[in-house]
This record gives sequence, C-alpha cells and structure tokens, in this order.
Amino acid sequence: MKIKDTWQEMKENRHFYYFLVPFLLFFSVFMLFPILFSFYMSLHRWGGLGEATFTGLKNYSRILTDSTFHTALYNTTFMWLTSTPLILGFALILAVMLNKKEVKFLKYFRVGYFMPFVTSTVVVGVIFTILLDGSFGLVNFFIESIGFDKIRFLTSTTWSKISIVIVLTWRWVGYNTIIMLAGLQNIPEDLYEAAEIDGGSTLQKFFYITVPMMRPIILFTFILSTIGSFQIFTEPYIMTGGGPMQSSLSVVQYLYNSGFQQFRMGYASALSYVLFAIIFVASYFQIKIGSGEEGI
Amino acid sequence: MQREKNLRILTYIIVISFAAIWILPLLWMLSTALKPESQVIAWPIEIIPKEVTFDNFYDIIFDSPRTPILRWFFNSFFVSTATTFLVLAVDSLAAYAYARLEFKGKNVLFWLLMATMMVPPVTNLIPNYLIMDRLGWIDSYQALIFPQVAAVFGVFLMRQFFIGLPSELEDAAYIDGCNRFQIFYIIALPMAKPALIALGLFTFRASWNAFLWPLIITNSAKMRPLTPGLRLLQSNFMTEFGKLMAGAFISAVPVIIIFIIAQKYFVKGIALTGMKG
Repeated sequence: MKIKDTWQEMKENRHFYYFLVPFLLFFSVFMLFPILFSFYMSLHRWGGLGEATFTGLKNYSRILTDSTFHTALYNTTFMWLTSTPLILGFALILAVMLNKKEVKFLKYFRVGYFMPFVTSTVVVGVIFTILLDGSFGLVNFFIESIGFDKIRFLTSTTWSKISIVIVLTWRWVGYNTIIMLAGLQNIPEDLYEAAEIDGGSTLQKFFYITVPMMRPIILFTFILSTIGSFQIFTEPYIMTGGGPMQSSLSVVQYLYNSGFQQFRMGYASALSYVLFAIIFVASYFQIKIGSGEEGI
Repeated sequence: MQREKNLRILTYIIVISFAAIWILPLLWMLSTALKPESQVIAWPIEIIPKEVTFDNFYDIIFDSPRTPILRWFFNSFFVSTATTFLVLAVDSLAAYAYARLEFKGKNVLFWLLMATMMVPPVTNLIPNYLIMDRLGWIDSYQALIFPQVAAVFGVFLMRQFFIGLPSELEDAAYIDGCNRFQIFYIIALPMAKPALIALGLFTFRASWNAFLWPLIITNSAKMRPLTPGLRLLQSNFMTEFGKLMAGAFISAVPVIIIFIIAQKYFVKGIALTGMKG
C-alpha cells in the first residue's frame, strides 16, 4: 500500500524529476565525482602517466614538513590578514558616507568603486604590473617627483606581497561597499533619532549604533574575504610569478606548480584538501567568535 | 550647524577623491593604449594624451598573427554566452523542482549541495582535467563550458526566489490540464526575471573573467579565451605598454559596458546574495 502510494506520487510528479536530471548530471560528473576523486588521488603518488602508487597519508605528512608550502601559506596568510581589514574598513566608511540622505548624488560615484570588480583579474594584474613597474611605472614617477627613491614594487622580496595587497584592496572595496550599503539600509532609523535627541555625536553614533548593528554583515564579508584570500592565484601569477624568491608565492600557485609544472598530481590533490581544511577551520572559528558574544 | 556643514564637505571630499583614485588605473589603461609608443613613459604623465593614435589597437588586432586577439574575443564571447544560457536553463529547472517538490532524500541532497559549495574550486582542477583528457576534450569549447555548469550557487539563488512565489496560480493551471513544464515555462519563469538577470550577469562576468581553468585546459593559440590570451600577450609585448594596454582594454570593455547598462541588477544581485549568504 505504502509503496504503491509513493509510486503513484512519483508518477504524478515525474516531470519534476525530469527537471532535476540535467543539473544532477553536470553536478555529478564535474563536481561531485572530481571532489571525491581528488581525495582518492591525494592518497597516491602519480606522475600523470602510468600507474598510480598507493601511498596512504604520505602526501599529507610531506606537506607538513614542506618548507615551500610553509612559505606559500605564510604569504597567503599575510595577504589575507593585511588586505581584509583594509578592504572592510574602507568599505564600511564609504558605505556610511554613501548612505547619507543629504548627499544623495554621491551614489553615482559608486560606479567608480565598483568598476574594478567587473574588470577581470588578468586585466587588473596586467595594468598594475605596468603601474608598479620598478623603472617606468606611473607610481614610481609620482614617488620620485615628490623626492623619494623609486621602489622596486614587484622585484623586491619585501614589496612583492604588499603590491598584491594594494591590488586586492583596490579590487574588492567596491563589492564589499555594496553589501554593506544593503546592510546599512536595514538599520532602523529611530535608533539614530533617539541618539540625536540624547546628543550623541557622529562618531558615537558610528561606534555605538552602526558597528554593532552591522556585525552580522561585517562577519559575512569577513568570511567571504577569507575564502577568497586563501584562493588567490591570478594576481601574483600575473604580476610577480610568485617571486622574487617565492616571496609572493600563494598556496594555489604552489598547487598549480606541483600539479601542472612538476606533474605531481597526487601531491597537488593533497594540497587542495589541506587548503579546503584551512578555509573550513578559518570560517568555522570566525562564525564561532562572531556569534559567540551574543549569548552573554 | 557649522560642524554639520564641515562634516558634509569632508564626506564629499573623501568620496570624490577616493572615486578618482579608484578609477585612475582604468583611465590610465585607456590613455596608454591611445598614446604613441614614444609618449607612453614620458614624464609628466599625460592622462589625456596630446597625440591620440589608434596604432596600438590596429597592430594588436590586424598585425600580430601569433596573438589572434579577435579569435580570442570570439572564444570568450561564445563560451561566456553559452555558459550563461546553459546555467540559466539548467539551474532554474532544478531550482523550480526543488522549490515545489517533496521527495525522500531532499534534505540529504540539500546538505550535499551545500557542502560542495564550501570546497574550493581548485580541488576539482586536476580530476576535471583528467576527465577532459579521457573524453578527448582538451582544447575544446565543451571543456571550457561544462564544468562551469556544475556550480551549485545558481540553484540556491533561484530556489530562494521560487519559494517566495505563490503557488496558487500554478495549482490552478495544473487542474486546468497544463503539464508541469508548461506551468514552469509560462507562469513561473517570467516571474523570476529579476533573479534570472542577476544570475545571468554573475555567470557571464565569472565566465568572461575565468583564468586558471582556461589556462590549463587550452593549449593552442586559437582555442584560448581572452584571459589566458592576455597572459600570452604580456609575455610577447613585455615592454610595449601601449599594445598591452590596448589588449587589456579590448578584453575589459564588454563586461564594463554590460555593467554600466545593468548596474541596477548587479547591485541588487550582490545585495541579494549578500543577504541570503
């Protein structure tokens, strides 16, 4: 009886099931299977040709002691921790300013901030390679004209990472400003009115109303930035190639080099799972910390 | 009162000067592309070139057979358009079924889809490369398009939208003898237009700008989209800034134009995905 009912229902809804088929097909072949297969490969040593040798967790234990991986992880973390506060700080300040009713026409300027987000990373990388060029770059002409020495932005080990951070900040402020603007519009107006009656200053309103009310949004953008930062590839690849002396090598570029330059497919797959774990743990702790205080 | 006025002026100054700094690199790209090579690295910098020339564009389009930029442009355009339409069709169908249908294992499937969203896309890189190799699809359009259709994001976006639509009209149409596909196509889909536009814009932008996958999966000059093509251009015209910037401009301009036209939908889409997580 029960089975018959289910069957009857499925037959009636058969069109719905057909609807799911195309997506599930693409999903299983190019998403689910690759994710699982990647894990399988991470347990093997494989050079791209011939038989794969099962090595258990050896790839993973090698990652733990791989000094190039440590460098790449340090570089990536550096880029993440310096660019994220800059991006979110600028975005919040700009959003607050663009949200003011009395300066309404300013919203047209958001196009300017938003443009870098729609420009491809490769184009951005190429533009900044020239802008930051050590001898002919526009930025260096400017630096020299105000009386300082030229900076070798892309060819010095101290500046290469900072150059990437500059580009990331330029690219992502606009996108985050839009998210923050949407959040600001959800803050009830009467909170500000009440503060005004009590004689609260602009700065007080910002720190005691705006920031606490925006906390979920800030947390959300922080997590988005974290996920994005750990997957940085194109900017350093185009601008510095990861150099000089691996000073701007990112985790994903190391993965790319291992898999597609040295053909260590198993090792590269293990790297991708380590990256997944790092992103997962970082996001988990941010959610924990971000929502934890609510309970007190 | 005076203080408030000062604050307002400060706001203007900050917002406008930052916008100027933000837009400068893009303006500079255009102005460099329009300068004769001898003027490119002249000091003081001319943001508006005194002498405008289209030589860089001409050279790069018609006079550099090793870097066929028109062909790359076509590849990017074809791949991005095909991806966008495929994603819209496949995702909205699945999302609609998901929003309207109760079935065993629905929750399990939901969490499975959610979980794969957390996995960084580079995890799929090597297996997808091997799949394409096995299928003999390396250096083909299918290889550039299909993996992008497997992304889960669009299904969630569309599902969220369909759940918000009332189903009474659809039930009535069903009783009147329309089949599920007719109901989807005639009633539900037109109502989902804002979500479709937002998803379409995001997909097109992501596809046009994708770099790592096209870099790996294409190896002949004629199958490259613009992004890995531009990389090739960079190594060929290392010191010819004008030509390089002309190439960058050609590859940046379509999405910028689409953005300016559809700005409203872009902004709405970001706010929508931002809020929904």
